[in-house]
Amino acid sequence: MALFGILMVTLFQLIVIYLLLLIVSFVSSSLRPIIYAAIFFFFLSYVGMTIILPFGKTFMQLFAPLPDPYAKLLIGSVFLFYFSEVIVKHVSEAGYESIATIAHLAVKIAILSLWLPQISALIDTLSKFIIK
Amino acid sequence: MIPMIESIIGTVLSSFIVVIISTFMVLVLDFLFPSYSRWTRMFLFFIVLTVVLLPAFEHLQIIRSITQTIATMFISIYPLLTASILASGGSFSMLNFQPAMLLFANGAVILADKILIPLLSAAMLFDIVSRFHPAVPFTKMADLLRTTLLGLVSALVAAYSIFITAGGTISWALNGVTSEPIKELIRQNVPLIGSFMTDSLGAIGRYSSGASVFIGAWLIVTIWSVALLPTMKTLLTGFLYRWTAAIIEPFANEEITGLLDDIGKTLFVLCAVSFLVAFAFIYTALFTVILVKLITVAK
Repeated sequence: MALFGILMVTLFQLIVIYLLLLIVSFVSSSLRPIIYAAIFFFFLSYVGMTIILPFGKTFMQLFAPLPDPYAKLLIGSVFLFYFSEVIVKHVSEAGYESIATIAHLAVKIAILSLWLPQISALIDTLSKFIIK
Repeated sequence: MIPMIESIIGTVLSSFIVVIISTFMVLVLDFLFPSYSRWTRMFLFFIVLTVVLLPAFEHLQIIRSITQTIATMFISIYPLLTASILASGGSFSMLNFQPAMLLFANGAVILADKILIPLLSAAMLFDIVSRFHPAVPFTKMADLLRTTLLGLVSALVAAYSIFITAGGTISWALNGVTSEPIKELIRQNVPLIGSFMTDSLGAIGRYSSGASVFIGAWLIVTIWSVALLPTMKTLLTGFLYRWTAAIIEPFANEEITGLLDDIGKTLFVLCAVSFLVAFAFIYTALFTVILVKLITVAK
């Protein structure tokens, strides 16, 4: 029930933010990008703290019976990818697409390096067949 | 016997539950983050490959190390055996132990060590590659390798039974009229290697019934159970893999069920190869025991 309340509050806040942005663009269109960016990051951190991260923890507990690092790794890498994608989308909306692509590539490499021990273990197992 | 079966079922069943849970997790993640779905599939494949296929990999390693051990053992004791056969003179002529048969049985083990098991691991790798990257399929290659291996092994076992029949020992009960329904049952219900199994069990049984006159039934039972244990384990694991693939087919994606099915088939062929090894082990063990008995009696 508490989660449902938080969701409703978030929806309400979204509407308020939307109206606020409309008013800002009406009052001073030169200030709009910076206020938009500030509100975006504020809203993202708020939603992340109250909804996405708690949900991620519950999700991990739900799949605790899976062998140890895999559930955590998979869910963690998916959330990392999601946050990176959202920020990239925001930055490229402002017109700085090339910077956004660099950051996105870095996050992808970070995700792959999280998986690196597992991948190397798999390659070890498979190469045992070839090399005696 | 029972704890062994329980442990095998436990390992394979737990990995089967892992497949179900991780498939469900991947479904939820795909729903939440559709842009990441290709990578989620990839990592799901990783999880299945590392967790679920570990028992199969272990079986392949175990059979391979057993084969290597028996091959080395045979190469080291063969000169000794032939020397003692020469020394014991004509007393072997009354028994049904041809040294040529010993050489043949153990030559099969060396063949298995050098050719059959590497080919089988190649088939396994081909299966994994073609499921992991469906654009480059090697399924026909893997099937070809498996059927060739099975044909080769069946031919070897047929040669065994011809040799043993030529020796003219007493026939074992499995070839009697009474056991015909059991043979038919095994033949129908064990996929791929059913008829092969009845043949090879018949060959081993025919041989050891001749030997039981000399060394007693309990020793034969011991040697049988020691030699056939890895084979039975492999057979059971292969069955469980195919069973798992059949159960999860409705809700897992096709690559994973296909992979499990293929690995099950490969384990069946591995079971056939390990029959060869078991036969060679039984033959060598009985041969050595009878030789020692003859020498001690002669003194």
